[in-house]
Amino acid sequence: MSLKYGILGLLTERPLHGYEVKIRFESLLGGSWEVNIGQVYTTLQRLERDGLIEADGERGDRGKLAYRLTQTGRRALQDWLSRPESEPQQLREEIYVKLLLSTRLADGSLDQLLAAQRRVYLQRLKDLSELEVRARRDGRDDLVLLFKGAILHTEADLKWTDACAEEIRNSNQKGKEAS
Amino acid sequence: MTRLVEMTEVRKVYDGGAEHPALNGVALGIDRGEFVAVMGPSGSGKSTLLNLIAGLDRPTSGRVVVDGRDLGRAGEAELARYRRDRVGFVFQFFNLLGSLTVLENVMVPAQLAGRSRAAARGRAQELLQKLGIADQAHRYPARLSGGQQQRAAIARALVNQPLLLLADEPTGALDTRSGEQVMDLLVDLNRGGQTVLLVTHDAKLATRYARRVVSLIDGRVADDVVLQPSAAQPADVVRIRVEEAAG
Amino acid sequence: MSALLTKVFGDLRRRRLQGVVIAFVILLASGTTTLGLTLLQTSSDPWDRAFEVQKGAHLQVYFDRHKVAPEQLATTPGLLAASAAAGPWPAAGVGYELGTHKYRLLTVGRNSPQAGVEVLRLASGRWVQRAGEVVIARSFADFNHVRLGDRFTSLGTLDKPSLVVVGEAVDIDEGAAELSTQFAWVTESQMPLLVPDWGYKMAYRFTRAPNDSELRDKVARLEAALPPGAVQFSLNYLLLKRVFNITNQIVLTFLLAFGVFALLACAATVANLVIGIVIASYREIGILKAIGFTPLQVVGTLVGQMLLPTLAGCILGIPAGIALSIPLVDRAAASLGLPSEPPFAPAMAGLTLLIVTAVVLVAAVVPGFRAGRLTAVGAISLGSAPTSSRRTPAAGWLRRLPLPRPLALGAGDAFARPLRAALTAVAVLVGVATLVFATGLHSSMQHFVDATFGSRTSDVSVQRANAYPDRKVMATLESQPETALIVAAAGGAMTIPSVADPVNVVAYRGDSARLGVPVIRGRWFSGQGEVVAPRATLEEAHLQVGDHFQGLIGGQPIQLRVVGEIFAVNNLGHEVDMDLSTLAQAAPDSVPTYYFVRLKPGSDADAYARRVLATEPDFLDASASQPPSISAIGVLNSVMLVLAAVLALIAVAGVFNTLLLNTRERARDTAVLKALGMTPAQVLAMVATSAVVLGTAGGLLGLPVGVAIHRALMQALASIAGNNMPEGALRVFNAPGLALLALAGVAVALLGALLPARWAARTRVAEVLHSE
Repeated sequence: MSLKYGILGLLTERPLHGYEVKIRFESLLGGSWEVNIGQVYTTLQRLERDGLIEADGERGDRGKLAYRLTQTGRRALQDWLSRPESEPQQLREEIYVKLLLSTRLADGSLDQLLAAQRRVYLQRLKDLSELEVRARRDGRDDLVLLFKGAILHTEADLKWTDACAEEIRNSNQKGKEAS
Repeated sequence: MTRLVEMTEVRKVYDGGAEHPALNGVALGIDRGEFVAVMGPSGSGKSTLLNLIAGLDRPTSGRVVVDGRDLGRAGEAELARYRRDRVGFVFQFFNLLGSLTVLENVMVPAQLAGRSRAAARGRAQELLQKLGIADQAHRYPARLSGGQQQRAAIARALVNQPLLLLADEPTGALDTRSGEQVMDLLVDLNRGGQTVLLVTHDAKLATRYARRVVSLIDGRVADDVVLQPSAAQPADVVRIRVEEAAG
Repeated sequence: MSALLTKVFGDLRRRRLQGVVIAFVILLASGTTTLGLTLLQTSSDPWDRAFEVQKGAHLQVYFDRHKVAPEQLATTPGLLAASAAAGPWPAAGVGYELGTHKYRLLTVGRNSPQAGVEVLRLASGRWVQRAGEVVIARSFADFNHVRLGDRFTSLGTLDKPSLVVVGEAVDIDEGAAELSTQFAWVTESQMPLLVPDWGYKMAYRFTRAPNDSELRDKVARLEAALPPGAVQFSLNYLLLKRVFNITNQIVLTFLLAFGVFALLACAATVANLVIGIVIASYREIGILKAIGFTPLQVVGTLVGQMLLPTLAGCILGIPAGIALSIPLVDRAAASLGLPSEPPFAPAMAGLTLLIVTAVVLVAAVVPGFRAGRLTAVGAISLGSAPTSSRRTPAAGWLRRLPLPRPLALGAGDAFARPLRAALTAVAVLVGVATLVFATGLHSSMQHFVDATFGSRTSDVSVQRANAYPDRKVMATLESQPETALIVAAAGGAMTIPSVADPVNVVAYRGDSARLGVPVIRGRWFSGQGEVVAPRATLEEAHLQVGDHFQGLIGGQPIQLRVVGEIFAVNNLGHEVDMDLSTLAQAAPDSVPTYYFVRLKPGSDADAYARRVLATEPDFLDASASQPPSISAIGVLNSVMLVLAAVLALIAVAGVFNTLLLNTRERARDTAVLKALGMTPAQVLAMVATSAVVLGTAGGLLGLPVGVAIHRALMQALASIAGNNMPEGALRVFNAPGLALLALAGVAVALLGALLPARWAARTRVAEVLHSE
């Protein structure tokens, strides 16, 4: 997730200084996601360098400097908000790497791996469902949508492990028939 | 202590399908008071499994023993009585009898068991009350919403105090809201001691409500796992990566 | 067109069972109809033909030879403007003995079978050529197993001449051997040797066949021209034709009634089926329309599905009907002396085909039309809609009966579709009504026959030849210990004003009231001058019970009063009964020749008869009365049995068809019930209850219909025979009997339910439940 546009978005309401940005960011994500303060400051500097934000007033107490959006920044934010995501599919889970590697290993532990992975997905589904319920109860409709997204991803992953298992079974079958 | 349902080496082959048995060596046990979900894609054999436990069909080989009774050995009449007294059904499409009122529908299993009309009516009304649709008692099923119909079906399933409540895609024909209400109901009943067996293709449904998930693939049990009650924090489950923008 | 045919054949392949049901039902109905129509065509025709071939006599008159001379008789043809005449032939009733049996035959002296009028055809042998020879009637020979060469002993004179049978002749006047007087022929010169007294017979023919009133006029003219008492009695051809036709008319009426019934039941079944198909195929009809079938073509597919099995049924049924008619037609032809032609009546076969096809067409088109008029979308949506149709008030009420659940559900199902239930009930109604009226008919016919032939009921009947004195017979009878009652009867003839032919007189001596002749109105005579008569005579004479009139007996006038109407079928109701004392007023020489004897309970009638016979074997004939059996009744009974079975089968098919439709439509609900725990036995009970409800409805409705038809037919029968029906024959139904017959409706329904119930109990539950 891009910190740059997140910060721009947070600055639409009012100018903020670095620490406030961190706090608000975390609260936006709804609980216990931590954001590195160093990353925040670095990004703020970049944004200022690129002319998307500017300092808002003088350094206040304890040397905190607030920033606000520039026109350019506002426009950039609008563009980004209205643009759909077209980056390539990010497959970040380790399982994909393990999959690619294990086909080079001939010791047949792939299906056990997939079975264990499957269990993880099942438990994750349960947990995500619970989180969704809680978010709805707390009135956080935005989080509801987020969790729904995560659930659908997990369902897809689950389907994928089943598909892998079937492929393996079929190729074993063919192997048996050939020999 | 014997388990409520004990399936051993169960195979089911349909005529002409010898190469692809619907169930191919299934072993499964269910204890009293459990809430088990049997999950699998279409063709996995979950409907067949349900039919066998329900006494709607007999295994080709292997044993299906429910409450000490070997269903494979029972005659048609005996199976019918078993279904009447020991099992409660909840179907995806409700399967209420359109020509009877809701109350009459719920009374049917009791009447089939020979209970008097008055006794059956009393029990049915009690259940409708408990399930929150007492005011629909004298209407015909077609007039009720999906959720209400399913609740009526659940009432009907409970009328003879079955050992086992079988739900086959109970939310499949319902909107999300009603579906959740129905599932919550099943969870409630389970908390009260009712053994529930849920059959579904929806992993989300299975994992959300059931304690134990049995995965069927190609007629075999691929997995049988008890899930932990969820106390997770979001960060344990979902990671939102925040990174610097490149340039 | 080919698309239509393809669809029709495809549907028929799919609905084989129902196609078979329709074909079966049509087979039965077309067979019945063909039978009826074939007999209709063949019945009246041959008689007329035979009459012409035979140069039959329009009028036969018997004269007293002491009152008129042969020369005078020769002028009578001119008097009557007859186109041809034959006679005078000597004629008399003569008693004969053959082996142990005695017969009374009207013997006519004729030297040749050919004549200007009344040509006789020899069925076998030759005509009489000399004394000692006799020719008998063919039907008589058949009935009594008499063969050429058998020897008859004539009992008319003391020397008892013997006559050998040299030939059998066919005379259309002869009628059925068991019902009417039979003829025999000898040479003219033989006559005086057989009997002390005889009369003359003349036969007349006219250019134009006269009707009843014209014939009456002619007889009147004869009587006017000749001395009083010269005309003894006459027979006209219309009377004979009617007698001949009675049997056939009766059988015919029944057949046509049955045929109409059968077609009605078929129509109901076909309509039911079509409606059922339409309901099951709404979706399909919508698709047909969507792909371009016109409404007419849609109706065409439905009608075509019905017509093909119908044709199949006709192809089998019509020949079957013709085959069945052969024995009946043969019998008719035989009695006319005509060669038996197989009833080749392509016109009738064609007519049956037409009628049956029309009935099926109407029954199929009317419901099919509705299907044709649906729009494609309308049809498909009707097909997908959940069936909430099973909530009619009648069904709801039935479903709530305080019965066990499975039975209550079954009862409600029967009327879930009221129209279907009504049509099925019609089929059952028809079957039950037929059973009711067939059994009623059987009992009534029995009654009828008893009334006709059995009463004047006696245990033993004795007949005396003229040579043997009356008092000797009475002495013999009175001396027997078992004798409980003797009633003697003498015969005569009486002319009544406005009645053309002289009417038979039966005069009783003794306590005749105890003979049990059915009295329909008024009472039996109790004194001199009182008479009773059947309806035909009373009507012809324009008399009512209570009227006075004057009759002429042997030329003597006599004052009489009608005190009652009786049931007597002899002579088609042309009879008057009185006490012997009344007859004696006009004919003092009348002596009884017939004796009715009732025995004390427990007596052996056969032994008694043999004992009486032994006192005078030659001039007496005594026999124990046997329950009369009439071949016509026998034929009727077997025909009725077959037809009642046919209609019962049609009713069974109708119920079967309906239950099949019902259980198929209910398959889903039945599967749910089985999943909920309904045992196979309970499912059977459920379907059976549906059947019972339908059967009861049809049965209860069929009872009054059957009784009404029975009544109507019996009245028609009776008036053909010149009588009013005695109450006894009408009141053949009693409550237990009717209840049993109503149960027959239930039985029929249960039979039809057997297979559908078993199939419903056995359907696989699993797939049905998991699908929508």
